Amino acid sequence: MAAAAIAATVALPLLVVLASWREPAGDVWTHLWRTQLLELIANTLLLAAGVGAGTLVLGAGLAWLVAAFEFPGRRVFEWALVLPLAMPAYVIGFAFLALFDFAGPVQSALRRLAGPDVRLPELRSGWGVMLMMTLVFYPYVYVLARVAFREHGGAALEVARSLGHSPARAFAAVILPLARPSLAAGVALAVMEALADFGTVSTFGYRTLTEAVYRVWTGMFDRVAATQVASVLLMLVLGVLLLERALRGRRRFTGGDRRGGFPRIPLHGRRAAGAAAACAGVLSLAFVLPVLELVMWALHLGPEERASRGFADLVASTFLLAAASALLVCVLAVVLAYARRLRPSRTATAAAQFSSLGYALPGAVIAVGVLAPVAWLDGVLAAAAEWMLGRRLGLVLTGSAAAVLFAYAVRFLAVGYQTTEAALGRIPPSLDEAARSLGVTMRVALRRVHMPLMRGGIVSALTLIWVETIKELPATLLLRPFGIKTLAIEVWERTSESLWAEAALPALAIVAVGLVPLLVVTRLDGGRR
Amino acid sequence: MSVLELAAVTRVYRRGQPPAVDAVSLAVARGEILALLGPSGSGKSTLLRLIAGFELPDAGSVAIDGRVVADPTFTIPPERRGVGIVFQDYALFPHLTVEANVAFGLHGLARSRRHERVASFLELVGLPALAERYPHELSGGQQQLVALARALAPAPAVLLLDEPFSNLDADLRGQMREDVEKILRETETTVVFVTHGQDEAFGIADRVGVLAHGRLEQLDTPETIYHRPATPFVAEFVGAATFVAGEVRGAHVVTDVGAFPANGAAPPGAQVDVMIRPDDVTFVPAADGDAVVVHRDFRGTETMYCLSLPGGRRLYSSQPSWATTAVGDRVRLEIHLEHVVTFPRR
Repeated sequence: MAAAAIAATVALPLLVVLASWREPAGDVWTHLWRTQLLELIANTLLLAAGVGAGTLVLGAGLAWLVAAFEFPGRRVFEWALVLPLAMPAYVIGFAFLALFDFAGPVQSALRRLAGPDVRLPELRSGWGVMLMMTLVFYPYVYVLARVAFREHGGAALEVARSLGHSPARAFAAVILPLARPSLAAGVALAVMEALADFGTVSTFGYRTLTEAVYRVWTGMFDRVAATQVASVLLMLVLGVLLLERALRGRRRFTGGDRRGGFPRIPLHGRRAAGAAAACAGVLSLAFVLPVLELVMWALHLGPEERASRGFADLVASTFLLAAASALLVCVLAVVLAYARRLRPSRTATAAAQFSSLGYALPGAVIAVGVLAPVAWLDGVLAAAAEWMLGRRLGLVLTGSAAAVLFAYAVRFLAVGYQTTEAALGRIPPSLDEAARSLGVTMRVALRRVHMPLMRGGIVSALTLIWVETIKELPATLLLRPFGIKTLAIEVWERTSESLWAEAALPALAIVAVGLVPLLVVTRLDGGRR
Repeated sequence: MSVLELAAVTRVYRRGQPPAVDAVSLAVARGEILALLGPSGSGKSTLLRLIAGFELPDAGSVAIDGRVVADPTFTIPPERRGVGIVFQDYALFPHLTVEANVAFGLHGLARSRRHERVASFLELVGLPALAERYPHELSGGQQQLVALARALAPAPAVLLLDEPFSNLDADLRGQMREDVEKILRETETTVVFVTHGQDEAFGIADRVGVLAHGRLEQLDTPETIYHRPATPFVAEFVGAATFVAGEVRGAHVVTDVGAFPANGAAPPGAQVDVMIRPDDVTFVPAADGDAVVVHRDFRGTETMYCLSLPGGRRLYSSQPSWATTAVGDRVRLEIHLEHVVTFPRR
């Protein structure tokens, strides 16, 4: 029951977006259709394809380097190459814009060296956006590919080499096909992120569907048209999901050899230097350089600006909102997972799968989907209040934290569910039965047995959701309560005004927060080995 | 009065499939230890779960202390049945100390009373010194004793044990069997336990129920089960058995390997199978014997011989391990049937 209710609530925005076509297309839509929609779709598809290809090459390539070869710095690079994941695309985006701006340090230096007419290709373009996203989303592919290469590739590589293949040919003929499901999953994640991104495309002025949802909503105040644009985006996302399913194929490469990998091939001389340089280059472009730049700017800021109450308030309200989100999502996730454990019915399983779809939905889509039910509920509340209290109440929920928390619940329930479900799954079912045979109801058993045993999983779910909420931009931007600002919104607003230096400190804060789960995860990884 | 009573209990997991438990009726008296014996898939674990309340019967009823706790229309949840369980994996709560584990099922007692009771049950199982330990700091045998103390502490009407010794090393198993039986007898607990090993069932239980394909084939004392099995399945499951074809003639069953008293079990002229167990068969080496040793299986306390008779029939014979006859030797058979068990010809 509880599971079905949660799933239905979480699925509501999705259904709202899909049902938007029942309303007649308005003028704005017709206008959009005639002028921009095809361009928007083409741009979005191009972006998805570019980021998919870019992350595949970069992610799989780097993963193969650190998985199969030994070269100076390999151990450090192996975990450090995950770091760009902490960097939201809109942060690296503005760091690069500032760096390569016409008035920025790179172009100024170039002009001084090579004359006043030297120009770099314009970064504010489709290629620029693709480059930015590839740099920060490749770790999705990298992480999964590295595991696949290490766990399944060992025996295959040895067999292939014993049959006379060079490492490079073995990679192409055996290892890559073996890793295909992992690669497909990683690329799908990266493409989802690209489709969901709002901050980068808007600062780069690259017109995509996500950005159009925001523009139609806030610029033209047409909710219906915004929802209809969102539904087109939704179709693309579902297409990516289906494509990933198809690419994953029916083959299951489970098992493999769990010997803990295979001996790495040592590289020497120029080859070793090349491998190290490739890793170092990507890492510095995607992480070190932008972070250094942010630090410089933050330091350049006057002390009074740095210590201003504004920043402290910003951090406080962001953290508080994220904490509320984490708590809410975690409670929902635990209820959902526990309900499914108690009664593994088809309904509960379907509910769990359905609610996990939210993570694939772009924040902008969720935002427009959330608004309609919340506004309707507001109407009901207002009517009830007028009937019972005899006075008008106004809109209580719309523009309150409730709406944005609803959106977070839709977007992040999957994160919470997967983490808590995994923790719950490690508890043997006989403990449930033991508790019941000792006279304890399942409700009490959740408190006395399961929750204490799930503590680790709950803490990591809370952390993950907290961090994801802090990084979230589009849904927050569209649904935030009046007068509340988050770090992400501050970064976006400052960068849209090209106030790079003022965006640096909040951006650094976001990156620092984003590092937390990465460090936790790598530490857990190390502990297990 | 029986503490536990099952009346034609049936459980069908999937419609159209044969029932996992098929119309099983049995009653367990106060203080009795009943073993449910059967191969895997025979429905013995399902039966245990039906008694505990984790499964609901599709037909029939379960009564504890004269009160119906489950029938197809009504069920009392496991937490209110007063049934204690020792799980196969012990299912100790890993986040609680031994003391807290044993105290888990004690509700509505004052702190001091609860403490006393926990202490007395840890005393009972001989582990009073381990109260502060966590389960992972205990050996397998100690974990089992804690699980037993935990299940006994709330004074359940019936205690269920699910394959209680299967997770223990072989050298520990015998000792644990003795210890557990002593505790169960001391506390006069009514027990149903499930096992697939007949020596466990025979060693501990007052009565043994043999299950096959969800049906209760026979429910009786260990001796009767072994010597007077009700069905060929029981005969083979509780010990090696060979069946020899025979015909009832007058007061005897006549077979290839000799004639045995028929005891009126079958009418004259009936075609029957006579059960012969390895311990019924002895032999003496004889150059003119008509049987040949074809295989010898040394098992430590005994040696199992496979003998080939004229016409290709094979019989098994268990002999003390100090006597040795070589493979290929000729022998003369002697069969002494204390109980002649016959089944209609299959």
